[in-house]
Amino acid sequence: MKTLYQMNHVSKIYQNSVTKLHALNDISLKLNEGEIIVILGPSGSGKSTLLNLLSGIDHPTNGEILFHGTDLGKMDDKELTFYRRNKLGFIFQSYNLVSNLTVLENIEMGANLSTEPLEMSEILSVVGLQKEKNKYPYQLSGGQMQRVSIARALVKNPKVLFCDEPTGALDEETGKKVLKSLQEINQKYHTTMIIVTHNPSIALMAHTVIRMNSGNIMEITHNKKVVDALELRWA
Amino acid sequence: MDLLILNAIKGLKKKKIQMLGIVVMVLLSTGIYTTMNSAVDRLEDRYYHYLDHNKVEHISLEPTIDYTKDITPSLFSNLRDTKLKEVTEEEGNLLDLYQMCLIQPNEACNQEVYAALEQVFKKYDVYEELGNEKLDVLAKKYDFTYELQKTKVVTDQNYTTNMMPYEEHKKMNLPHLVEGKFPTKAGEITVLPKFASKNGLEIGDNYKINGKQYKIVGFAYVSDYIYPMLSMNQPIFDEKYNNIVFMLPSDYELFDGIKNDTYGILLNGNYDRKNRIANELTRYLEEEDKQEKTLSDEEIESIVKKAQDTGDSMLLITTMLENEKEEIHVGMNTMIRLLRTDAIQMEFKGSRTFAETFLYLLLTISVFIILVITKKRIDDERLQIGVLKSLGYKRYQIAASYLVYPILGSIVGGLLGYALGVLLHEPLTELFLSFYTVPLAGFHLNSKYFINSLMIPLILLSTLSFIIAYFMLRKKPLALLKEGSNLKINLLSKVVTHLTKPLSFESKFRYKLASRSVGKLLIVTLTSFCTGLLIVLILIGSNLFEQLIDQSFENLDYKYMVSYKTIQYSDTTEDDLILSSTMDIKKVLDSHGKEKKLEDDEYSINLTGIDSYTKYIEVKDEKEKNLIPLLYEEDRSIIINKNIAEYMKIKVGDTVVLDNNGTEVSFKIAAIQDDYLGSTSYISRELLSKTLGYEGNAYSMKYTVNEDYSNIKSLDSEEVDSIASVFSIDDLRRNIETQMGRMDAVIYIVIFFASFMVLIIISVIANIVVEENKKTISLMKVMGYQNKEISSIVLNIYTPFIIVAYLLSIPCMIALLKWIITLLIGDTKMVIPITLSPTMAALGLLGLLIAYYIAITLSRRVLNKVPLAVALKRE
Repeated sequence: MKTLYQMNHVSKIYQNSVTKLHALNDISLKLNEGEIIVILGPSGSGKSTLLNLLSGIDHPTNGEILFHGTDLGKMDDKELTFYRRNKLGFIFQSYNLVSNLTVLENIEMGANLSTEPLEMSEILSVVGLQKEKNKYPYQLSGGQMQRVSIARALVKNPKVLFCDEPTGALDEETGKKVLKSLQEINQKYHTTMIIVTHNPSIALMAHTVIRMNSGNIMEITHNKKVVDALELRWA
Repeated sequence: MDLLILNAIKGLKKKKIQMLGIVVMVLLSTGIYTTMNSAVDRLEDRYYHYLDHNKVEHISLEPTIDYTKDITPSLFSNLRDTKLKEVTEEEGNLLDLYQMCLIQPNEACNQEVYAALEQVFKKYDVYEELGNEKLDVLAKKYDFTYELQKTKVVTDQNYTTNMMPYEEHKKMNLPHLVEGKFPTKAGEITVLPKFASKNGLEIGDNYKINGKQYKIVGFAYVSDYIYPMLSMNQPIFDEKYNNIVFMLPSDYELFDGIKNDTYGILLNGNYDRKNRIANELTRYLEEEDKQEKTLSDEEIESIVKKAQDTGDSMLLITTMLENEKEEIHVGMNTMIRLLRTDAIQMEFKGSRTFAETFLYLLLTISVFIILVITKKRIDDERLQIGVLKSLGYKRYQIAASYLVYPILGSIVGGLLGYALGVLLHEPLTELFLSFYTVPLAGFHLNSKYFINSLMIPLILLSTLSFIIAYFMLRKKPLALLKEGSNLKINLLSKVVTHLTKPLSFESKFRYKLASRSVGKLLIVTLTSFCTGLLIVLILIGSNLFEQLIDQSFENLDYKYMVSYKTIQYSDTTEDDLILSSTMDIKKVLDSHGKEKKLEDDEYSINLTGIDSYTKYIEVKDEKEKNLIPLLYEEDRSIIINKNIAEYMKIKVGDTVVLDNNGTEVSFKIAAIQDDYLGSTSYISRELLSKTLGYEGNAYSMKYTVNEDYSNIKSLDSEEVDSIASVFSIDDLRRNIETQMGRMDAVIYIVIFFASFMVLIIISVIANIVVEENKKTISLMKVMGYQNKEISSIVLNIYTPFIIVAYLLSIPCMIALLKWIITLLIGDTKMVIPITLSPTMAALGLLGLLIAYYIAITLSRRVLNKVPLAVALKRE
């Protein structure tokens, strides 16, 4: 498996005039291409910080983060913007859809960034929203809105899909369906998925699970068998 | 509720630009209000006192000398032995003719003879003697003081000077000494203070007038020249080239200039100076049904008493004009003299009205901004509001917390605006003094302006804001708390979706963002539309003025228009000799002789009699064809201008029937001149002479390029005595061009100001748009959109609306102006072309767009600072 990310002794410290917070402590890891990677941990464990560093939204205080051998820490803002534009996709807990754009237009928002986006009809079919393409977000359920968010992220055919608590606002059934979509996308397009969650059940569908606590990696496990998303049981 | 207000105050830190927008609007409105009112106060406070203290005349009238009745043969004989002893041969012949008329009236004794006689009488001060006799009687009857106001006008190169004799014991129109002293010795003069400063003159300097050296001993105002319009040459006072000089009477008698004496009337008693006699006199003179009855002495006495008790000067003046029409009349100078003393009152009224209107206009715009801010806050805080309501907070309590913006904005803006207004009143006062010569009152703080600057914005903004917030908080708590309650979109957005389907993603997104808030879109569009109206109005106005002036001056190749006091006769062809008359149109017949409906049965036209060999007057049609030969192709031809043709709906081939002092005379329309200035028509001079009963070569005016007329010292005294006025085209053109230069400055200031308003409003709106779309902006940054791409999509959403609003304002303003002019046509009887060139329209749009793009650029900085982390926040 080809290495996608390599983190070497990465730390992140947030400091203001009063306090100093060690969000990440000397993290070193490797992430492989084409895998579903789940970063698991309770609130304040550093998993969102890790996501932000990997996606170039934030810079590490110490250490280096290599993406396909390129040090993200040495990139300026413009280069990081293009890195996110060309290589990454994002899915958020709160969907972040633009309320006065239709489903199709929200997906176009992502397609607009790519020189070779995937076909709209294909994307709509993958997320199962062909009939809803002209609807507005207020006319959709939570699960449907999250699938629009997935489609928007996927349409530019990114190398990596970052998912920050993708099922956090959804009920179990809907959540499993969304995760199933992600699994299918991973299988079809070999898109690497990095899912940040506090729900341990989701770890079973991942190829690699990184457990974090208090800014440290407690454990990295590789699942020999990956469970179908629809068969997961919520904790 | 304290906590709600505290929360609102804390939130202010994040809304600096919006608060700044409100403060600036209030500041501008109260600043302009205070500045204008304070400046006008300094003029007005002293003005009425000045009128009373310096005994400024109420009106000027002329005694009517009836040469068939007022002079007896014995009186005339006496005059011939005294004042009329040393006359010229020509004058002597005229006096002989008159003497015969006194003994035995005959056909030769006509108005022309009497008009010539009056000039001779004026020359030898006989007219003054006769006039004084008449006025003595009237002065006792109507209780007024009169005095002959003497002036001589001289033009030397570009300078026009009114000379006046300084007398210590003047009965009225007392001069006001600003600095130095009045003349006490021969050769000493005073000048206007502004004239001195513009020409670098100081007290003690020598100054030459008409080739003679004088010493400046003081600076003085002339109290009956508050708006110092010196002549029709110089309709707008030019402080560099126009001057009024006082000199000793002995110097004055020797001075060569065109005499322009007139009687001033000062009513005895306390009369209200605030009523503008000029307006009321104009109305009176236009009235048709005037009383015919002659009043008895007792009735007159009673009216005089009533006028004095009520302070109603017009009552007395109209009674006098009605009852004594054989003895006294409104003279040529009456209206211009009234304009000089009371035109400033229009300034007071106009400026104060402007200040108040502007105050409310800008405050209204502030209300719109507050409306937008309040709505946004309520939308953002809907969950909190829902919680508050469900906890039992009343609607008015929550609405009251939104008063922080208007209260703070009003107080800060009001105080700053007042302070700015006080500081800036001085330059504005100085500007007023460029136009008016009146002593200023000292500055004092007027508490009324301070209170109004604070209270009017505070009350207006707070009340309206409260009502708006109260209305917007009408939703039930459950509806507010429901998730996604903010996600619904309006109908406009849905319509825009359909319309923008074929467009690129960026364009679609832009229009969607713009249509998201109808309120903001409406504010931006209306602001642009109103600003567009204002800009277009100014551009059309300046263009119109320029067009009229260019058109008029284009046809004028002569340098001087010399008007004579009496009819002259000459065969010279060196100059253009003109005979003019005014006649009413009684009928219009079409080319078949059928009478047409008259558009206006009281319409007068000016007939200008010219010769076929005229050098300086061009009468051309739209295609630049010379029309003058057409006057000589057929008998009794006339050429009218477009103003007459369009207003009276007259065509070529029609016949106009004019009223020539009770006799109807008809002329056929040979052509229509391409000109809109005045109601001017052209006719053969010979034909007009015959029509008026003169010899074939009569003229009353001359158009000439003879430079001798630039300085009357070059002319012989006989000609000087016969001249009523010399009208210099160069002087007029220069005077108007100088003022147009000022007007250009006004135009640029107005366009700048209008654009500045747009800048403020759009900055606030753009700032709100950024705030409203923070999450979307952050999301786009996370997704990989560059800052410039985001700016282009999010900020540049109103450009097409602004352009469309401006373009719509052009035909709207043109239509509005045409409608206004149609309403005015009843009074002015003019047709005025309203046009706007594409270049000027583009200039206006450019000003507007520059302001818009500056506003966007300011907001771009805010947009660039939106952090990526906002998109990652969990709700």
